[in-house]
Amino acid sequence: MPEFLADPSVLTKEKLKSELIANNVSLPGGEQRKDVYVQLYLQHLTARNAPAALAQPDFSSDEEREPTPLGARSRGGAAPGRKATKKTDKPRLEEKDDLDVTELSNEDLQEQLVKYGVTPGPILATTRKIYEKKLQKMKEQGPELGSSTLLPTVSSSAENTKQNGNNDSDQYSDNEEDPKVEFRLEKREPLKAKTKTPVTLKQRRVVEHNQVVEKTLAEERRVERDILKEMFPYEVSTPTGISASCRRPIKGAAGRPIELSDFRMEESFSSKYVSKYVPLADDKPEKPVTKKRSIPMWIKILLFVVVSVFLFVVYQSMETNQGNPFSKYLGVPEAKIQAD
Amino acid sequence: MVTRTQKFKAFVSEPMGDKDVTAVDGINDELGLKLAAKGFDKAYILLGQFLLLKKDHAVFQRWLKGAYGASPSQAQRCASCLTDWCYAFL
Repeated sequence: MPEFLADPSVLTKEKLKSELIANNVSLPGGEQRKDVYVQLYLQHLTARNAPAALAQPDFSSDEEREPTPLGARSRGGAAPGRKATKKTDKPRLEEKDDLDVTELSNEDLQEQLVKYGVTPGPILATTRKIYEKKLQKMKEQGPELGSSTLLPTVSSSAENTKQNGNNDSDQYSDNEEDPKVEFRLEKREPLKAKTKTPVTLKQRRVVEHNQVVEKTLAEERRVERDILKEMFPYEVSTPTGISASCRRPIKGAAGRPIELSDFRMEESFSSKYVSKYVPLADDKPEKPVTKKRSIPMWIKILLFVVVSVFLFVVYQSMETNQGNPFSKYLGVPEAKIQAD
Repeated sequence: MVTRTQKFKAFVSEPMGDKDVTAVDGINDELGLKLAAKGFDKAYILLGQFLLLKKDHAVFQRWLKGAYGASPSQAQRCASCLTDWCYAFL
């Protein structure tokens, strides 16, 4: 792809301006019509294009693909003429007038969105910007989904986009095609290196490349899953990989008695695997069954003793007349009480 | 108190769900078509607009009359219908 577009009307006004500024082209003062910027772009930048265009068989455009540089040049030559005469909406409609989505009216924006199969809600001041962006995205996605011939342009343009930072369409198409860039880079190298080969060969290669990409993607996913299975054989396979395991009650907290048996169990609980947990869960209730009391045993015994002593004392204080079997034991305390 | 139409009661009595915009009281078929053409094809979208205008009766009516050529009574009924629905469910 040549460094600069032959048909700059694909860019928005702002993009044109930034491109011109980036390439040291002086802009006319104030806000001009888009055509003005298009003209400037073509004059200065497309002209620079000429020597480069010969080396590259393709250039990226989201409207038409010209396989030959001559075709590109002639189209580039024709385009400004066409654009310059374009003052009405009709010719613009022919090549999708939403090139500058910000200039569309609400109704037109809606129409364009409907063309892409999107049914937008009402386009008001608040929603307009969102729909503009959506339309932009649809535009860039639409032509790419069309054919594979665009791919050679994409691959060869990949390096150029890095240089210029323009042509968002190329970047998007890159992303569309290959989400896993790091794996694909080595495959792209042969494509990049062979930019001078004829287009037909490239197309074939690209088709193969696509197939290979799909296969390798599928393989990778399978490989990933196997590795995970090996690493975590006991893990329950859930969609998210997260499985909940019941939290063990913390021994020694909240008045729970600490037992040696609990420490023994802690070792086996080093990994919270579901399969292992289940048998242990069965063990747990059996072992501490004697210990699992809301009130500890020793306290109960103590209370029992205290209550019995109290009752005994009460009995003693009440039963003074009868022959008290305990009298000989209590002789001293009674003597003491009488003394007081 | 203004006597409420059957349509009004039917709309306000339950969550609007996916009802068409013509289910709103005051929106007849013609107005409904105009609204749908602009993207307001469901009642909840019209509700959205109503909420965006801060549930202001007067502003909503003015908007409906100005943008879609609703009559004052239509706009008034629509506004009060939506208000009551909000009161019940929002």
